[in-house]
Amino acid sequence: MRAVLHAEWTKQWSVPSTWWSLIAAIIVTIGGGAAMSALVHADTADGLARLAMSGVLLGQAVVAALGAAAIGDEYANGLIVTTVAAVPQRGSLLAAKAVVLGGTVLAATIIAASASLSWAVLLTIDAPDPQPDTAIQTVLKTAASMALIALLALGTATVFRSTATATGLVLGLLYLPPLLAALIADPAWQVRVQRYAPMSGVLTPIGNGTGREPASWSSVGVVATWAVAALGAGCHSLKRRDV
Amino acid sequence: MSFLHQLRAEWAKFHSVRAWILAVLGAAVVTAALGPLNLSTQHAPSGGPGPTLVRGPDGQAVNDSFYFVRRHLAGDGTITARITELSGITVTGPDRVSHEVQGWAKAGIIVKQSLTPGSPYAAIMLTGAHGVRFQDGYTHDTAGPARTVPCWLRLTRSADTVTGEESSDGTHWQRVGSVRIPGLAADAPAGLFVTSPSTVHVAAIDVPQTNPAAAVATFGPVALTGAWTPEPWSGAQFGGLGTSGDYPPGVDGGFTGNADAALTVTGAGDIAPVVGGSVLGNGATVEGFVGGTFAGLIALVVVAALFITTEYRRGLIRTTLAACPRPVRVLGAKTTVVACLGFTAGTLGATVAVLAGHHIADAHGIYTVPVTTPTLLRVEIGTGVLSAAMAVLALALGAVLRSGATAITVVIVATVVPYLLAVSPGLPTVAAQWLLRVTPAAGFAIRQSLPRFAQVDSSYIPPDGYFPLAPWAGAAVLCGYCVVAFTAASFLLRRREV
Repeated sequence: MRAVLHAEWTKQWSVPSTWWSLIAAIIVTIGGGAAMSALVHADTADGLARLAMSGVLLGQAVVAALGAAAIGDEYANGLIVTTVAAVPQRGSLLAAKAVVLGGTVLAATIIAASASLSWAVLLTIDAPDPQPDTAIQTVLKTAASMALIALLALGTATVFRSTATATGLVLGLLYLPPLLAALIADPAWQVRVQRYAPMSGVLTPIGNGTGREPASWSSVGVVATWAVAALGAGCHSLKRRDV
Repeated sequence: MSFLHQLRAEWAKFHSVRAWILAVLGAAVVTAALGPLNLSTQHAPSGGPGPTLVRGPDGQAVNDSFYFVRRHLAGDGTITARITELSGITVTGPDRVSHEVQGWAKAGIIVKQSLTPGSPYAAIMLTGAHGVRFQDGYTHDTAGPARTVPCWLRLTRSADTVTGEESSDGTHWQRVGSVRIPGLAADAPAGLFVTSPSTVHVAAIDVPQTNPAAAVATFGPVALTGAWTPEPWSGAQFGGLGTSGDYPPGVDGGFTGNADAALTVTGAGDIAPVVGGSVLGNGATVEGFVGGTFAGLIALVVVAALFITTEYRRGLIRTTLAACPRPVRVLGAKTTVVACLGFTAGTLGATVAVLAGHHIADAHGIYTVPVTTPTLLRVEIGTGVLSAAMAVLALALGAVLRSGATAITVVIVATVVPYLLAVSPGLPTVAAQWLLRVTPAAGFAIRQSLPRFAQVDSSYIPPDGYFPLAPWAGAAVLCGYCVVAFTAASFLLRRREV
């Protein structure tokens, strides 16, 4: 398993697009949060955290594309044939990919989320600063959700063997529920759609009214369920298919 | 190869991939189905179906509610009245009553074609803050001088033509407006009216607030000439309260006094087209029916981007460019294929969604805001234009970036995220409006079905379905992005080796 992890780690950093995607994810996350904090007035600590994290609305798309590319690009350039020949335990292969990708995205988004929150705290004068432990939790929940979104994309790309299709599907899963929920007049359904959507783990200024504290650990659990389901489906297809 | 040959070649390439054809069909299906499905989860508002909306002469929804002190005018004649006082009653909070008059509170003289709500009329009036106006047909508003009380108003009927005049002293009269009302009844109801829409307070961020308001007007001696039927003045609230009016608690419409001396009339409601926003309540709108478009758009964006990027992946682009050495023609043919498919999927999906939406709304006892046929067609064709433009944008960006996933991410993030932010409450209105002016999300303006009128106050803000740009201007912004992306793609295709 160590060797598989090492191989995946090497492969991940051998393409410059990984660097570009991570830098892009960090920039749009911080930039979006900074823009919203500058534009919108916050008067509570919760409001401030929500505004600071609004860049996640953009960053999650970049992270999803990165996650899909982690295996989709191997299918596109044929490297997957070599990979499965070298690592015949396909379950371990996907697990190694998930660990490497998840760890990288987690690290990058912890940087992005803490920078966003610090920037918002510096910028905002009339809102009380969040408690230190609340702030740390906000950063961790956001980063965990982003990493899980990358894993959701990884699993989806394994099923569909295409980066582009998987990216489109995951972006649809992320952005459609809040758009469609806005059309639903029945509040019970609105809550249901928003609560069980993969974006529910992300603390943003939108998607209020889900009837519980937003971006709680249980909503990170919802994203985790989506990611696990996608990885499970991916693992199943990977084992059943020739490649 | 001529362009037509190239077009045929590209179409052959497209329909040889079954998944793409299925995705386009799927886009049409979700566009058609999601909006109506959403609607079917909705229950009729408690207390029976919502208000029955009145349709005006042009088929659009109107409010025709006011306190009417009337007699009948059985032929030619005039009515002259002096307004000596116009004030308002608004409850702005618990135990807080304001006597400020609503800007579009109306007091004046009206002649109606008949006593059917929604029937044509002509009226000369003094408004709370917009001076003297002559209005007819619910949507036509002619401004007179910016007067306040006291002022004289006169309405003259001559056959089926009604003319409104005003004066500051009762001797020097100035014509404000005139209109022909075909089929004006032989004994047309005519008289004094007072009405006031609820006040709408749009804060920078918070949800807009409406407060019920009434207007109170005092008319000086009322002078009649011509064929008035001999009967006493009778007063009643006409046409209910409509969507934008409501009496404050403890206030009722009525009139006191004597027409020969002074008559005080209290009224609420509005004589105006129905607009959206906070004054509308829980009605279904046509653009809600086509809400599924977003899902369809994502499918189309994926297919359009893949249509060019797979050629790069598989090296087919070399063959394509060898067969047709003019890259712009190739790009043009590909663009035509995805634009036609997008337009067809969008328009068909939206047409079905509108039909199904009306049907389900009726079945669930939800009222739908009626729109005119041109607006309905604009929503349906606009969905097609939107789908075609998004597909073209994804294709062109795919050619520029040569990576499907990147093109898809850029198009979706540039379109969906600004839209989502702008229509969610929370963003300041100014920021939301700028997002819908400068990003490709401006294109969604083409589907705005709710009208905006200067003479009706409402919360004309993005979360209530109002775009800062006119429908076709918004579409032009999106098309501008397509043109830029297409130009960049043509330039790069010519310059790059493949």
